[in-house]
Amino acid sequence: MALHHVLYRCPSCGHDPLQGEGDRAWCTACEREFSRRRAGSTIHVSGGGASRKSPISKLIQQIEGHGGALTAAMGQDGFSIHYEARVLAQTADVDEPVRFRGQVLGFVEQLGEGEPGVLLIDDEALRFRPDGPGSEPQAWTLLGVRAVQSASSSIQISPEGGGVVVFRFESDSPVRWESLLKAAMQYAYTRAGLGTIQEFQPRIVSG
Amino acid sequence: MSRRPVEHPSLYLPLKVFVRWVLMPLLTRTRVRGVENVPKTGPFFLVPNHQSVLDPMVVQAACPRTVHSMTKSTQFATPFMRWLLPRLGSFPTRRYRVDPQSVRVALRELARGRGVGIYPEGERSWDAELQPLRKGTVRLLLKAGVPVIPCGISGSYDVWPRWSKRPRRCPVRIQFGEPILFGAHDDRAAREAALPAATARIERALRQLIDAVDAEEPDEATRPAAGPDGVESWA
Repeated sequence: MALHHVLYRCPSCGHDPLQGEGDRAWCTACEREFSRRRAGSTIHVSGGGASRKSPISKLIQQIEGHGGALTAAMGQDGFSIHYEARVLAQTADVDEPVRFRGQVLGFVEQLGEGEPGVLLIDDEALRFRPDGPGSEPQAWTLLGVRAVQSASSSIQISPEGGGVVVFRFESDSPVRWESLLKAAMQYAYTRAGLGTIQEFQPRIVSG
Repeated sequence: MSRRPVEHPSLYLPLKVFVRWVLMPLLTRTRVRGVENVPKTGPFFLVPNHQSVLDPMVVQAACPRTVHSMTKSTQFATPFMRWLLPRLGSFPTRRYRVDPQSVRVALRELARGRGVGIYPEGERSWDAELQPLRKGTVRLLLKAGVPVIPCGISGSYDVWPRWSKRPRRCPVRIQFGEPILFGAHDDRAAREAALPAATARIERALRQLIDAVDAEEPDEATRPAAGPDGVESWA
């Protein structure tokens, strides 16, 4: 991961996406630069004739103020969602026990081989279109997703029917995608009259 | 056939010594307060806030008692980690579903008079701020009825934030708070009724501890510049 994965659009002008590498990110629109010099919670901002430090939490709030992950994902009509990114998808249908000193400590998901492809999100579903010519596309309705969480540089969903699916992003921001997926699911729940989602893991709870 | 349980997982103390005397001096200047609040005997829950991958290591190195930590299942993905982590007192929890086995293991360790570590935010913070607490975690604390020791950590995000590949040497401050005693809530309805107040109490305790350690030592490297009204603004 890198700084531009958490600051995925410019906190200053809102341009999307922010470019970056490692602990440095920059905006090609307003030419501001964001960098970590030492402490991770304090980001140095330069460009536009000024240089100052800002808490990263404040920069993230400014991104939300510009519309967060939704702006880039909104269709021409201004309210439908459509966004895609390249990912490596892995599925676990089976959990294996972890044993120690004769007792079961717990269970660990056994992830299969990763499959490269394109992850798409729209108003109804999350869809995966694998690259392999013989592989079938997959789709999970937003109302059927049972849990969502981020893990390192990926997001995980628990689909209806059990198991877990992990999406590792080749270059896009898992923070953006987690935000987008949660917003899309909330819209779907609201349209279906299922109320506000209060928790996304370990299972969706709405009320 | 299960074997007799041991007090210290076999690699816990050697790793604690390594972390305390080698790793922490390399990565941080650490200050620890409140160790007297950790019970000297008997079961307890240790509930720290979660800023960095370093947190389990530094908290367990600072804690005067052995802590058996609930750890995300993905950490057990490789054969080596599946071998190592139990010997450090860790046990897996699947975060993508309700995991009754991890609850059973936690309660089993408590029944043996041990300390169990659990991060109520459920994952590392993206922005160093305290995140909403997971209801399932608070339900477990209410069910168990053992002392809950809140633990405020500040600075570990500065050392190694979640989005960075590179740690940098920064001060880390840890403070163990006074025990919170909820009492055992065996009945599900009683747990649900107590949930909002218990959640608020733990959150308040964590915020106070984090603020207390932050207030100790203003650090130029970590304090942002602010205008006359205290608000950061763009040029």
